[in-house]
Amino acid sequence: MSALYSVRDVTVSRGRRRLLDAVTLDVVGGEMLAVMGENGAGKSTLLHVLAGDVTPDAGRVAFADRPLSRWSALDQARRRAVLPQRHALDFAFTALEVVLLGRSPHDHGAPGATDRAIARAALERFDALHLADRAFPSLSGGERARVMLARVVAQITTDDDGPRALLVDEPSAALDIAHQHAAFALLRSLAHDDGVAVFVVVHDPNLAARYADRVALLRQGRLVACGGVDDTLTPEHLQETFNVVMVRLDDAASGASALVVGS
Amino acid sequence: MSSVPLSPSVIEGTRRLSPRGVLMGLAVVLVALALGALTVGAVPIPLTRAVSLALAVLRGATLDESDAQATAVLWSLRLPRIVLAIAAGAGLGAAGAVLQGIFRNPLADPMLIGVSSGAALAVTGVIVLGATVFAGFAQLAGPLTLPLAGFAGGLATTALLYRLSTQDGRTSLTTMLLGGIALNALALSGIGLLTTLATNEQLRSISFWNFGSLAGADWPVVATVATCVALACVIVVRFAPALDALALGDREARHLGFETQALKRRAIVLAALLAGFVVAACGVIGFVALVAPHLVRLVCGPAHRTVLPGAALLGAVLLLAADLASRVLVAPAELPIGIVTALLGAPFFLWLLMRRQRERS
Repeated sequence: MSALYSVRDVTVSRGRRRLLDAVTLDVVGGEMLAVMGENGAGKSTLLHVLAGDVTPDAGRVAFADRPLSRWSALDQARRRAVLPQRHALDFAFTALEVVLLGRSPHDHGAPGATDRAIARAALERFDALHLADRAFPSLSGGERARVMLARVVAQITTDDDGPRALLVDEPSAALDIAHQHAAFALLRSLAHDDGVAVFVVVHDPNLAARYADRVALLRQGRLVACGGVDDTLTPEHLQETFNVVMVRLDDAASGASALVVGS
Repeated sequence: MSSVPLSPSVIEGTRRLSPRGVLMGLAVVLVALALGALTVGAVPIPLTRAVSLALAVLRGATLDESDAQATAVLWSLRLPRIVLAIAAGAGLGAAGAVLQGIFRNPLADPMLIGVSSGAALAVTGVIVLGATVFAGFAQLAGPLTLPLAGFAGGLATTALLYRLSTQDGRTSLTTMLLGGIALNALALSGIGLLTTLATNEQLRSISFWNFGSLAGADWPVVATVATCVALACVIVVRFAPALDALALGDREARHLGFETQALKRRAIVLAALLAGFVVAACGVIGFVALVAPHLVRLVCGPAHRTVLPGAALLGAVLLLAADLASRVLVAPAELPIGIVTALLGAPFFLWLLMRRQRERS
């Protein structure tokens, strides 16, 4: 499959600081790309570049073989959804209404029966259908995160098989362990089963190792490594990226392995 | 940004009334109030008599002296005043709903944040300096002079305040309210300065801004304001989906396909148009714009396709009721309507603040 997002030599500067420095990578349909790096490494900036919020100072970004700048906000919104890290919502929309907002690129602000069905199905996928009629601001952090995941999934639910992308900024922070894994399993199934290109900013290397198809490591705006999980999540690369010594522990009984901070 | 709920409506859960039912109920109440307002005043005119007078006039029948007097009272005094109350109330309600949507904040109100006093300053300036500094403008704009001045003043203050309190699409409540205090103070001192230049006749017009009044209603003013408010309300309803999306944030709305910046600019112009025209016609009337959208949200939920028309209808109902009260309570004298709305609205605002406080602790 060809790249859905192609990022070539992208540089973003703020004053003298380079938030991104000649970054080149592809985000491919049917694949989950995990982006990792310490705070301020440029992960969110990269996400904003893909989302069209930030125009690069140098380099090129294309979405579905067309320069991103030539896509209108509405055309982008029909093909890709963005899940930010924090959710501010001061008005008491219900969870279902929040998910229906995700349908607005398709329904022109007047959701029909199909949109409602899509919204309810999305809530169900994230184990949040029982929250449908609750006021969003009254939900717990984890419940809000699941409703917002449902919103972005509802947004890119289409009946054609055109290109679709999902850009997610650290979805697991507010979630408990079970919902973390459920959410990542779902994001991966969106990629593998529905052909969506999933770009996700992750902090936990173990979540990345377990669910991602490819990993991109960023340090001070530069790409340290980008490739398959086994090639990128090595103790050497992780030390270069995060400035901490990491070791891999293997559990012979279960076959599971974990990356932990060594001494 | 904090996820602390800013609105008391958030703890209301989701027991809601049907939006359609609420809108229709409000429309019925509005018509009933309007008919009631026709009959009440120094000369009581029962509804049956009003109807037969109207029919007589339509038939072209000749009226005796008492009928002619009653017709004049109805046509020249009460009806324009009722229409102005409805138009101004609807304009304020809709302006409040739009401002609260743009500022993403349920406490935005054209009076609290200084938009109304900015409009009042511009109108005062034109009243005082209309024959000298603004002579060309006044000549060019004719009967639209004061409404356009109000619009310009309202637009300038809204845009300034938005710049001041919003960064990266996030509005700081504190900066917004404090900025409003500063703009209010600035506008009031500007009005004070202008009054030192004013003639006695001008002073009488200006004092009318202090508390707002519908007493100045005559048909040319009423027709201008009612037409503009009606047009703006029709346009504003088309912003409903965008304002809903905007509740998630500027970027989030853009990610949902809305051209956020352009939309916000247009919505701010519309809100300033509504508030400015209303101020030009009836002075500064507080709290209607705050209370109306709030109550609709509490009862029907925050979706703007309901909140916008609902706030316009409820604003009309509130202002018409307040005007009725201002005419009846101390009859034959009259209370300035701004006093009535403040008497009802200010405690409501305090109650909102108290509930927010309790929610946080």
